[in-house]
Amino acid sequence: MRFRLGRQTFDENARLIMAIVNRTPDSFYDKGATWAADAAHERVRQVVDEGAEIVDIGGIKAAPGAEIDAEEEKRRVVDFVAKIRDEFPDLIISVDTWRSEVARAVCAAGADLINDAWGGHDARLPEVAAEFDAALVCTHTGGVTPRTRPHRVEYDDVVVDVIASTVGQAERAVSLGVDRERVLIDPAHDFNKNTLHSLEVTRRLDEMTATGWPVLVSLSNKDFVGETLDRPVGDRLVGTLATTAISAWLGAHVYRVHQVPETRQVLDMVSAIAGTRPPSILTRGLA
Amino acid sequence: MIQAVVVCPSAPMLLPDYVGLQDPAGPLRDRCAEAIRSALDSAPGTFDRIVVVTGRDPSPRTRKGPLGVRVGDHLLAVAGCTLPVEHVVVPFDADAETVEQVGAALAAREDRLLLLVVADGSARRSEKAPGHLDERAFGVDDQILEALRNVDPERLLGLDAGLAAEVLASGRAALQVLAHAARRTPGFGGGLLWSGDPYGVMYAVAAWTRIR
Repeated sequence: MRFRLGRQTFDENARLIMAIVNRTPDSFYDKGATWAADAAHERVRQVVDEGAEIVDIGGIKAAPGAEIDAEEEKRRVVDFVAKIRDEFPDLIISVDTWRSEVARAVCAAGADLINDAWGGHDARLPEVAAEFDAALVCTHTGGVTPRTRPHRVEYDDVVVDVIASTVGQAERAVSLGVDRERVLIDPAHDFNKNTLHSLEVTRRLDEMTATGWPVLVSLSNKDFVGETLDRPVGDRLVGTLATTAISAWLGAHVYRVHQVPETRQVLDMVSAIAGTRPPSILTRGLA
Repeated sequence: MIQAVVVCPSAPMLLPDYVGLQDPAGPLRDRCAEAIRSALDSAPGTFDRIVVVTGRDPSPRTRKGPLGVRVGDHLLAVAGCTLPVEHVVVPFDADAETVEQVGAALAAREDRLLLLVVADGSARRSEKAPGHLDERAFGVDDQILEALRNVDPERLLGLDAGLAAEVLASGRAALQVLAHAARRTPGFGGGLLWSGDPYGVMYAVAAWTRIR
C-alpha cells in the first residue's frame, strides 16, 4: 500500500505528524495563540523543527460560534499558505476547510492536502482536489452540518457506519478524478460521536486500516479523552498519547496533533516495538 | 380514562448504558422515579396500565428503537412499577392532525391509565448547549413550563411546531399529544415538580393527577 502527499510517497508503515496551526482567535485548545501572523509563522518553524511532516492550517474553529464566511476564512488562511509554501518548499501543507471555494484558493496558493473535517458537506470539494492534484481527507460525521455538536446520536455499529461513510466518500472522490493514492480516511473522533463511540472507533481502528486506505486520526486533547479521565482541556496530553499509541499499533498513518515532540516519541517507540523502525542507537550489551 | 400524567425528560444519560463511573443524571433519575411512584400512590390499586408517550426521530440511524421508549421503560423499572406498559410514539415533527388523533384516542380509552410523557424542551439554551444558543429557545420553554405548572393543555397546543423544531424542542409533539388527551379529561390538578437545564437542554418533571 502506498499514499502520496505533496511530492512525497509513504507506505503502510508511515507514522506521520500533522501539526495543527490554527489561524483562529478562538479554537478550543490554543485559544488564539497563533492568530497573529508572525506567531503562526513561528509555530510552523517550530513544528517543522520538531519533526512534523505536515502542517494543518485552519481558519475556523470546529465548535459552534460566530459565523465566519468564505471571504473571512480565505483572509485568514490563503496568504499564510502562500508564505509557508515559499519558506518551506518541501513541507506538506494541509488546510482544514469544508468549503470548495476556500480549497480552490489555498490549492492555488500551494496547499497539498484538503482536510475536510465535515465529511463532504460541500459535494464539490473532491473536484477541486482533482483539479489541483491535491490530496483529500474523507471524514465521518454522519452528514451533520459543520460546526454542530453531537446530540443524542446513536449508531447500531459506529465502526461499520464510519467505514461505510469514509470509504464511500473516498471512492466517490476517486471517481471524480482525485488520485487514489492521495485519499485518506478519518473516523473524526467526537464529531457526531459521543465518548463511547470515539473509544469504540479507537478500539476497532484495525478495521479501518484493514480497508487499505491510509488512515488519519485527530485525537489531540479531545473531549473523549477528557470525559474518560475526567480532565479539562489543557490536561489531556497523557490520555491523548495513550490513544495515539493504540492507534499507531492498530495501523493509523497520520496523526493530527497539538504536541509534536511527545507524539513523535510515542510513534517512534510504537514503530520500534512493531519492528518497522530500528532503535536510534544500539550499544548496550553489544560492545 | 387517564388518571394521572407524569412528564419526564428524555436524556440518554438516564439510561444505564450511558452511565460512566460517575452518574451525573442520578438525582434527575431519582426525581423522575419519585414522581412516578407518587402518581401511582395518589390512587393506589386503581391503575390498569402505563402508557409511555414520546417522540421519535423520523429518520433514525439505529434500530435500537426510540430513545424516549427506552428512557420511559427504565424510569418505570427504577420506580419499581410492575404494571403492564404500552408505548405510543409519534414522530418529532408530527402535525396538528396526528397529535390530536393520538391524544383523543388516549382520552377515549376505558382502561385506567397513567401517561408517562417522555419529552424535553429546547436543546439550544446556552453557548455550550448541544444545539448552541438560540435566544428564541427561552420563549418556547417558558411556554412549556407554564403550561405544565398551571395544568394548561391549551398553552401546549399553542406551541408553534416550526419554531419548536428550530430550537430543537424535540418534545413538542409528545406534549401536544398529552394536551389533546388532557383537555378531554376533566379534573386534573398538580403541576411542575422541577425544571432545569444543566447541559443547555430544558428538562422538566411534572405530575398531573385527577383530583378526587
